[in-house]
Amino acid sequence: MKRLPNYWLYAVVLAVCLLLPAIVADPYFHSLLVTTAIFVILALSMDIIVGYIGELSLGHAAFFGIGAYVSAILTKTLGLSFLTGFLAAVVVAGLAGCIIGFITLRLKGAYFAIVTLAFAEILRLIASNWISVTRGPMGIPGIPFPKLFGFELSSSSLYFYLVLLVVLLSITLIVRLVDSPAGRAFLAIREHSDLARSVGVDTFKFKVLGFTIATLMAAAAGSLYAHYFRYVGPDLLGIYYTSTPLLMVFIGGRASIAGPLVGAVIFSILPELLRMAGSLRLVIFAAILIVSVIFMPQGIIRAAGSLFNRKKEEKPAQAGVAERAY
Amino acid sequence: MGISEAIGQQLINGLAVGIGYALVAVGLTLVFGILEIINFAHGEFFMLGGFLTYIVMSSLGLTYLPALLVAVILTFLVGIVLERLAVRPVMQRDPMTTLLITFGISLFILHLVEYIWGPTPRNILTPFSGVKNLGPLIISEQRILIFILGIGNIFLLHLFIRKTKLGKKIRATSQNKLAAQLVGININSIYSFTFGFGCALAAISGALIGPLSAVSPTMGQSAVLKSFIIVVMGGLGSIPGAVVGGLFLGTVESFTGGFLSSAWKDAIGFAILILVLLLKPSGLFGAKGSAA
Amino acid sequence: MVFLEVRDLTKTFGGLTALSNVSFDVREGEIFGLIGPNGAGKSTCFNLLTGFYRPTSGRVVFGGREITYKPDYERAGMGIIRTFQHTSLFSALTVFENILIGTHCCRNSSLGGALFRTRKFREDEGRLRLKVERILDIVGLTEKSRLPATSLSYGEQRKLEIAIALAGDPKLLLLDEPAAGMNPTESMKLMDLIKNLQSQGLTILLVEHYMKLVMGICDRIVVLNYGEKIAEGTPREVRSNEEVIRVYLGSRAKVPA
Repeated sequence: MKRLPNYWLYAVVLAVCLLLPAIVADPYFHSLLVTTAIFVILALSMDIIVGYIGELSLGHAAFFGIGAYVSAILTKTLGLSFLTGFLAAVVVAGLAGCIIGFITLRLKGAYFAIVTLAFAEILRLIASNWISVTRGPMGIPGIPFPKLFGFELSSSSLYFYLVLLVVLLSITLIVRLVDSPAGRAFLAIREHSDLARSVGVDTFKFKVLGFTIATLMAAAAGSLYAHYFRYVGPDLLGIYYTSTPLLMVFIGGRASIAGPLVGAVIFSILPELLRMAGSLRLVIFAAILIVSVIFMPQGIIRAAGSLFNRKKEEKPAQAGVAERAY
Repeated sequence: MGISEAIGQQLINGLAVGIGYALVAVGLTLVFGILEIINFAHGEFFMLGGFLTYIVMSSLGLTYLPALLVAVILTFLVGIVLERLAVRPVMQRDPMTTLLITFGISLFILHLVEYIWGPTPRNILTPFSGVKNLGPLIISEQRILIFILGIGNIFLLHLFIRKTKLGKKIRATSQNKLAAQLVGININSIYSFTFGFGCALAAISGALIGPLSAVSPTMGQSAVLKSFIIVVMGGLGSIPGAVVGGLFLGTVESFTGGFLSSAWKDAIGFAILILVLLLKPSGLFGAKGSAA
Repeated sequence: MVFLEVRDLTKTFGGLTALSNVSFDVREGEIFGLIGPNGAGKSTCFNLLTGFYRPTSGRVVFGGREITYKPDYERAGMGIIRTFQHTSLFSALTVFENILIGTHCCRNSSLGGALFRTRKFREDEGRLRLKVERILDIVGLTEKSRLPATSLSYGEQRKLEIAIALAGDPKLLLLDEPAAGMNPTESMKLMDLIKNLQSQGLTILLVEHYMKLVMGICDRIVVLNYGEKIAEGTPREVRSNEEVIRVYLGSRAKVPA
C-alpha cells in the first residue's frame, strides 16, 4: 500500500550502519552487529507469516536450520563455494517451505501452529540422529569463511557489510511485495478471508506463496549464521530460533519494516545489558512477550507512533491502524 | 523371548505409557472444550508434575506418592493463577493472540524451572521400582501404578463430569456459555477451575511417567506435541477420543521402539500426525472444532 | 438473453434438504430478486451461486459456461462478484485500500513484475488506482478515501462493500441483503445506486427482505419457500400470486407494493 516512506530516516539509519564498524572499533561490538543483523533478517521473515499473512508458525527454526545445515554441508563437506551453498540453502528451504505450506496451510490456525512445531522437532531429531550427514549432536564445525570474488571475509566488520547487504535486499523484497497485488492479497486474507475470495483472491495459493518467501528469507539468515559462527548443530532447529524472532516481531510491531528491525535491535542488545544467566534472560523475555501481548498488542512502533500523533494537531485522516510503519 | 512374547511385552508397556498419555491428552482436550483455546503450555504442566515431584521429594523429604499429590496440587494452583493473569485478559481476542499467550506461558515456565533448578535431568526414586511377572511377560511396578492411577483418574473424571454439581456446570458451560451465565453459573470461575484441572491432569501424568526415565525441564516439549497428536487423532474436545488416542500412540511408540529403533520411536508420532491431518483434518472422532 | 441459467439446483446438508430442484433464468441487464420467508433457502441458493457451497445436484451456467462446481475465488475472474449480508470490510485498511484489493481479479502484473518494478507493473498499478478513484466517485466516497474503513457510517460501509465488488469489473453482481440495517433514507439512496449500476450495464441479482426495494427496482423476482420455487415473474405478477401471499401473510392479505 503506497505510503510515503520516510526515505530520509532510512538513509540516515543506513549511513549510520555503514559507518558503525569504523566508528566503534571493538571487535565484540562488531560481532554484536552481525548477530543483530542476522536476526533482523530472521525477524523480517517471521513478520511475513505472522504480520502479513496472519498465521502463527511455530516451526520457523526449521527453515533457519535448513539454511544453516545446507550451507554447512555444501561448503564444508563438499567444498563448494559460499555463493553456491547460500543459494542452495535458500532454494532447499524454499522447496521445503512450499511443500510444508501446501500440506499445512489448509488447516485452521491452531493446527497449522502445531504441525509447524512438529516439523521443526522432526528436523531436529533428524539432525541429531543422521550422524553420517549431520554428525548428530556434535554438529559440523570448521565451516569456511565466505569467499567473495576471491576475497575471504574473515573479519566481523566485513561480514557485517555482507549481512547488511542481505538485510537491504530483504527489506526491498518486503517493501515491493507489500505494495503489490500479492501483498494486498496477504492483507486481505489476514483481514477477511471470505471477502478476499469474493474478489478473486486464491487464499490458499497466496498463503503458500507468502510462507515460501518467508522460508527463503529465514534460510538466508541461517546460512549467514552458519558462515559467521562457522559451526552448526541441532540447536539451530530448536525453539529458540522460532521464539526469538516471534518475540522481536510482536514487541516491535507486526506488518511493518521498522517493527521487526526495532524488535531485533532491542532483543539483541538487551541480553548484553542484562548480563545474567541465560535462562533468567529467557524468563524475562517470555514475561515481556506475555505482558506486551496483553497490553501492547500493536507493538512498540505503533504505540510510539500514536503517542507521537496525539501530540500533533488533530489531523482528520490519520489512519493510525492502517499506517504502514515504513 | 519368542515373537508373541515380544509383542505382548511391547503391548503391555505401550498400554501403560498410553494411559499416561491419555491423561495428558484429556487435560488438553478438556481445556479446549470449555475455554476453546489450545493450551500450548500444556506440556510444561506435565513437566511441572514430574519435576515438582522430584523437588518436593528431595527438599521436603516426602515419599513418592505424597510428593506426587503435592506437586499436582501446586500445578493446579499455578494453572489457575496463570489463567486468571495471562489467559483471561486475551480470551476474547483473535485466536492467534491466545495461541501466542499460551506459547509465551510455556516459555516462561520452561525457562523459569531451568533457571531455578538447572537443566540437568533428575531421577525420581519411587518405591515402585521392582517388577512383577505376568506369565512370561515382565511389567514394572511403576507401569502397574500408571495403569491403576491412570484408569482410576479417568474413571473419577467421568464420574465427576457426569454426577457432581460442578461437573454439570462445566458441561453446561461447554454447551452454551450464554445460557450457563443466565442460569447463574459463574463462567469465569468455571474457566479458571477447568484450566487448573487440565493442568493438574497433565501434572499427574508427568509425575507418573517421569520415573520411567528421568525428569528434566524440557520434558514438556515432547509431551505437548504428543498431546496434540493424540487430540488431533481423537478430535479436539472429545474425551473418549483422547483416551483411545493416548492408548494408541503409547502402543505404536512402544512397538516402534521395540522393533525398529528408539530414534524412530519419537518420530512415529509425528508421522501419524501428518498422516491424520492429510487424510482427515477433523480428527478420527471428529469432535467439536474441525481443522479445515 | 439468458445470462445466468439455474437448473434443478439442489443442496442437502446431511438429512436436511435446504434447496430442492430450483430453476430460473436471469436475463442480461436485469435486476433480479430472490425472496422468500426465513428459512426458505435464499441464502443457500445464494451461496451456491457464489461458489461458497457446492451443489448436491443441478447446474449453473453463466454466459454459456458451466460454472456449477467452480470454487468461489474463480468466479470473480469470470465476472461474478458477491457482497455479504454482514458488514464485510478489510477493517485495518483505508477506504481506498479496500477498493484497491477489489481490483485483484483485474490485475495485469506478475509477482516478478512487482519485485523488479517493471514498467508494465507500474503502469498496471497506475491503471488500477485510477479505477479506484472512478469507483469512489460512483459511490460518492471520494472525500473519505484515506480514512480507515471502520470510521465510516453504517450506510457508507455498505456502499463501500458495493464499491469493492465493483472494482472487480463484474458482469453479474450478487447482492446479499444490501438494505439490511438501513433506514428508509439510506435504502432510497441504495435503490438509486443499484438502478444506476444497472444503467451502466450490470446485471444484478439480489436477496432481500425489504419489500419496498424489491418491488421498487426488480425487473423480475423468484420466490422460494421451504427450499422450493413457488413463483417467478414481474413484481406485479408475484405480488398478486396467491401462493406468495399465503406464504408471507396468511390468506386474504396483499403483499405491500
